[in-house]
Amino acid sequence: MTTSADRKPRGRRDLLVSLGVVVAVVACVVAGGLLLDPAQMRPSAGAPLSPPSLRHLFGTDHLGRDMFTRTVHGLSLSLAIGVLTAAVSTVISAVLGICAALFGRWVDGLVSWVIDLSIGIPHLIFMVLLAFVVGGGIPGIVLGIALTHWMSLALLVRADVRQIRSAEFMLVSRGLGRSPLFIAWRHVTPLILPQLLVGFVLMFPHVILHEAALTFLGFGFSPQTPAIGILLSEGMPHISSGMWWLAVFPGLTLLLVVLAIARLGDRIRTVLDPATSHG
Amino acid sequence: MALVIDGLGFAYPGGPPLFHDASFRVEAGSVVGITGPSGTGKSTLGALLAGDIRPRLGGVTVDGAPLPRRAFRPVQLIHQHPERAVNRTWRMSAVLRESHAVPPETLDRLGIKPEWADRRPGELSGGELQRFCIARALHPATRYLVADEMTAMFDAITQAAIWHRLLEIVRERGLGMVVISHESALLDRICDEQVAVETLR
Repeated sequence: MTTSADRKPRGRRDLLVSLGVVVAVVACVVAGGLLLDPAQMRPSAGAPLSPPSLRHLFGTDHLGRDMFTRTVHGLSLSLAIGVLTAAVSTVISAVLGICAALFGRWVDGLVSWVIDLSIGIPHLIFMVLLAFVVGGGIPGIVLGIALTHWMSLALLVRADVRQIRSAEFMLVSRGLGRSPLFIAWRHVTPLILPQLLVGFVLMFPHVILHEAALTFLGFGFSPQTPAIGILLSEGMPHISSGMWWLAVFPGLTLLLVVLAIARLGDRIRTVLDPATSHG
Repeated sequence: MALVIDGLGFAYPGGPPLFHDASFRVEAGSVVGITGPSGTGKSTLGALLAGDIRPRLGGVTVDGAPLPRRAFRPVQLIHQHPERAVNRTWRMSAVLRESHAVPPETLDRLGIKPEWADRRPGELSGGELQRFCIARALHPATRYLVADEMTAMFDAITQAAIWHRLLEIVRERGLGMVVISHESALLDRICDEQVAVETLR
């Protein structure tokens, strides 16, 4: 009794701390993206390859572009793409998971087959393939990532809905003549919403890292776009000649953002999951 | 005008036959009790009557027509555990609206207070919830009600109050009613006729 009473507020407090950290980081990135002068990203904004200083916090690259401004812009691009792709992925997971569990054996077989197929293809190769087929740019990146991250959440949703589907209130709803669509939207969706929220937040770090990986490999954006992956790949050849700031700062900030959000997702799960919050 | 069960056969997948060539009828305006010990298929029979599960053989007809699969079913089942029969994320007003716009006088007669409409299932007691489930089942197009151990979870006073008010409405509307219960005192008091579930096996 005491342990569960002690644990619950602590879970909530941890969640609020994590939420505060994520909100602060996101606010900084967004404010930086809006406030920092884009002129700093043009060539010769400072001396080329100057180490970190008060004028250029993260140093400058071989063209004299300010790395701090480029990193912040890269992060805000990553966050925007992350929100968009994680949202698209979550919606795909929800729709397919619910359809598989509710709409009969035939649909279930089809959805399970698509899930198995998509899981079977190596992640990065699948993404590169999709981004290449769509033709690069933001649509290529968004589709390439969104279509490769929905499978595990779809399996979770499917398992959840299979438990809900034999509930008595679902039978009553059928008996009252309600359509499968009404039941899926009004009965099932509110019940799996916590699962979807956790899935969305936990998908976020994956999505951002894969966006960086895709741009690092040169798929997606033109080289002058300040995406984190592009900054890292540009920095690579200079690391061996001692220009550590070109790769370390973009990499480190990306890591911080990703870790903060992943921690938030874990803590939301701890609070929402009955097994850990009331246990 | 009757709910007719004719030559009904049913078995759960992989299980022994539960019902074999079972036949009986419930006239509109009459109350028929189904008796029998636990585990003999009383609740399965209720689900078959309401069309929640389909028989292997034979069928259920309502006033001459088979039970529809994808439309409103004129046989409405009231479950034993009302907290499982409502979606816990819904407000009670939405639970009622899912069926129909229940007239205020029906709510009043069933003892449902207007202020309960804004609450969620977790904020009501079992007896209060069951009244909502009954109000929901009393759709204008409902011809027959199946009550599966409807009041088994409640104390004698709640039980008496619920049955008294429901039977009054059932009589007024001329509905047919199937009462599934293991309490012979209850069945003796309210039923015109009783069927032992063993005779259907």
